[in-house]
Amino acid sequence: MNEGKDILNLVRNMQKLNAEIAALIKTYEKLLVARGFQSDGGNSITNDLSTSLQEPQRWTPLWMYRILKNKADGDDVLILNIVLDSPDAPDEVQEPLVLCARFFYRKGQASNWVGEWDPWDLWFGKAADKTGELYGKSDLKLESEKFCTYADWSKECIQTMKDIRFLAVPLARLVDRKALEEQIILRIL
Amino acid sequence: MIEATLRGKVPTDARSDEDCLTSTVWGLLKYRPIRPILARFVSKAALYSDQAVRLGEKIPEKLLDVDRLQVVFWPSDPEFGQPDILILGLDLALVVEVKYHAELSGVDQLRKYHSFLNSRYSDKTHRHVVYLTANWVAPELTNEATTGLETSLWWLSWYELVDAARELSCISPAADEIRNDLVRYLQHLGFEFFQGIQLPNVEELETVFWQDMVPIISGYEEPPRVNHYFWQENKI
Repeated sequence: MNEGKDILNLVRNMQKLNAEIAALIKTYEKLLVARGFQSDGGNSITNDLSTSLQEPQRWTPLWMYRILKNKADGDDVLILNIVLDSPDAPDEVQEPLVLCARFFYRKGQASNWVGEWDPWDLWFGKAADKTGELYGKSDLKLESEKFCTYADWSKECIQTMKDIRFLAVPLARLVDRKALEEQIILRIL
Repeated sequence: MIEATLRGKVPTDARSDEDCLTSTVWGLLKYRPIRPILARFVSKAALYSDQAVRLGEKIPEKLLDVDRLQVVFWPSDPEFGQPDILILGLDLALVVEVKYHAELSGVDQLRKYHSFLNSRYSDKTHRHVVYLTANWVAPELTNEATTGLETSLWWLSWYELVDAARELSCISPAADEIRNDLVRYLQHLGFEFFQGIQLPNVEELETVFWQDMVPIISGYEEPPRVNHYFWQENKI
């Protein structure tokens, strides 16, 4: 009986976490819309899931994204990724993370190159050091062999970017709305 | 409807029904002890043409005096149709057009309700239309829908209601009970801005399931293994 209850609690806690992440993404968007950004997409927040019996590791959404663009400059793009886990690299995930990157593309380039998982690539491709601090482009190792192999970003793609800001924050550190604003919004702008 | 909704007793087609939502929420907000929440909620409406401007900043506080507010549900007008909510106060007439999953029923719907106010409540100085939706950022409206309403069309999100309810300190013990139910209901519908990542209730989790990819469910006993053979009798 206890084991059955444990399983139910686990499932319900997962649903609760999903609801909290939905609230996080909506609030993030609301705060940034007030600062001149707008959503670049609909309500979809994840992809690469599977309904196949052969891929149970992809049944549950463990990664979410949101793309916003500056209303005044479509080449100024903010991408948020939530990383709950990575079945492909379990050792790389010590705890769930919020990754946020701001890409400044050269004129007219954003629409050709924006990818919803670009912050994921920066993090898991080890272009950014895992200290959870804010980085400018000079600190990102975009040219490293490790990154290029992992992320499959071409030189042509990298050259379309004028600058990148990137940050990673443990999800559990976002204990309230103020923490979201201070640790993500104000630091990435 | 609150308890029925929370316990999954509401038929599927009624769960997303705009009128049920309107009736459940505004049916509570209309009562005198709860009206401070109504006043605060409505004050949060943002001017469509400049969303930094809030309705509460544009109308004198006394117009939202809770003792004088009257909430009318679905007032029907032969010429202008039937808005969802009409709020009347001292020198104030507000139409609240409520949306849940649906969009405007016509491009001129909001302008029509503004005409309704101008025509039927011309004695009120402050006449505004509030477009209440389930969006967390203001939905796009065409110029055709908003022309002429630059200073009288406001957008309000259902998400603001939980904040409005929480921002007030103790109203009265009875009102606080109703407020708590209202908040539970809105949370259930997902109408809540971020309150922080809450750690799972570990006391509920009596056991840990996975550690280093090894299942360690407490009390779990592996079922006895049975050796299955195909065609056992034939010794294959």
